[in-house]
Amino acid sequence: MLKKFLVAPLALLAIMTVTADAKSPAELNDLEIAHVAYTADLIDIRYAYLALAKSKNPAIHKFARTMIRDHSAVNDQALALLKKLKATAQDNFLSQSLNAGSDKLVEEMSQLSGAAFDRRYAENEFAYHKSVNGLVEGTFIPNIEHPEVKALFEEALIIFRAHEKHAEKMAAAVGS
Amino acid sequence: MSRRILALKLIVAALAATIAFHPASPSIAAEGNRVVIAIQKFKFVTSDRQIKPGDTIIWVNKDFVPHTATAKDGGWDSGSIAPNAKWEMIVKEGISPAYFCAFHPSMTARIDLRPGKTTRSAPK
Repeated sequence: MLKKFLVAPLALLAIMTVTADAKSPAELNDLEIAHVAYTADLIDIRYAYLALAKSKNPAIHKFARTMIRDHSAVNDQALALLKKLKATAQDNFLSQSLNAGSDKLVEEMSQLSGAAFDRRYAENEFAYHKSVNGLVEGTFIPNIEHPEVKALFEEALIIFRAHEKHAEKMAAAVGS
Repeated sequence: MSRRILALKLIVAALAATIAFHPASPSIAAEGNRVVIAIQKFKFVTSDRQIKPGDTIIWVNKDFVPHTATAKDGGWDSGSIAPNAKWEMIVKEGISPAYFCAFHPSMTARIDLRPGKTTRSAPK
């Protein structure tokens, strides 16, 4: 069980380590960090829509709907702030790596069905939130310079920590 | 004074007397206290105020994502409370005081329910 939970965090860590020679997440500027966060939100929304299409488990559906609702709200806040600051998020190596990783995972999960899909989705949601939350708390928030961007990330982290707890219980319930 | 004017005056006087002896509904609703519970940073921020049957609780969502206030036993439920929106409930005797957010189950709270003037102790 533990090994399964570690798959996604290690994958994310690998992304960050492999590219560390060129650039590390700690070197990203505010607009690049905003792009990573926006991308990470979109990825989780994508997983949620896949879950709604494939799963028949009401608990999985309930969680997926919350992911769509909350991550969309966070991204709306981020876009509104960028508009206010007259800035544009900047694509970067980490956003691209996250997208590449999610393409593979969507392909993998698309081949699963029933309880096998539910387990994979739930374990990934727990691992994904844990990994991204660690990155946001340990690297992004300390490095963000603009106070309003920092405040938004601090508020978003509270939301994502609640998701992490929810995902952990969901993963345990579906037998991950 | 014509009979018509006299009749009109009598009607006005009767209406005034009716209003005086039967206050409008806001006065009746004001029998209980109104207590605000903010939903902020994924917590139900309760006041120290004790709540008794007949009081009105107003949940105000100050986060930018929707929440709910839902009884653990399913006996009452706000449904989705949008950001910056509120939902209120008149507390009835015997309701479940334990509740949570159905969207975010790690958010839990409990109404500090105390007996009202004319009621027995509500179950905790």
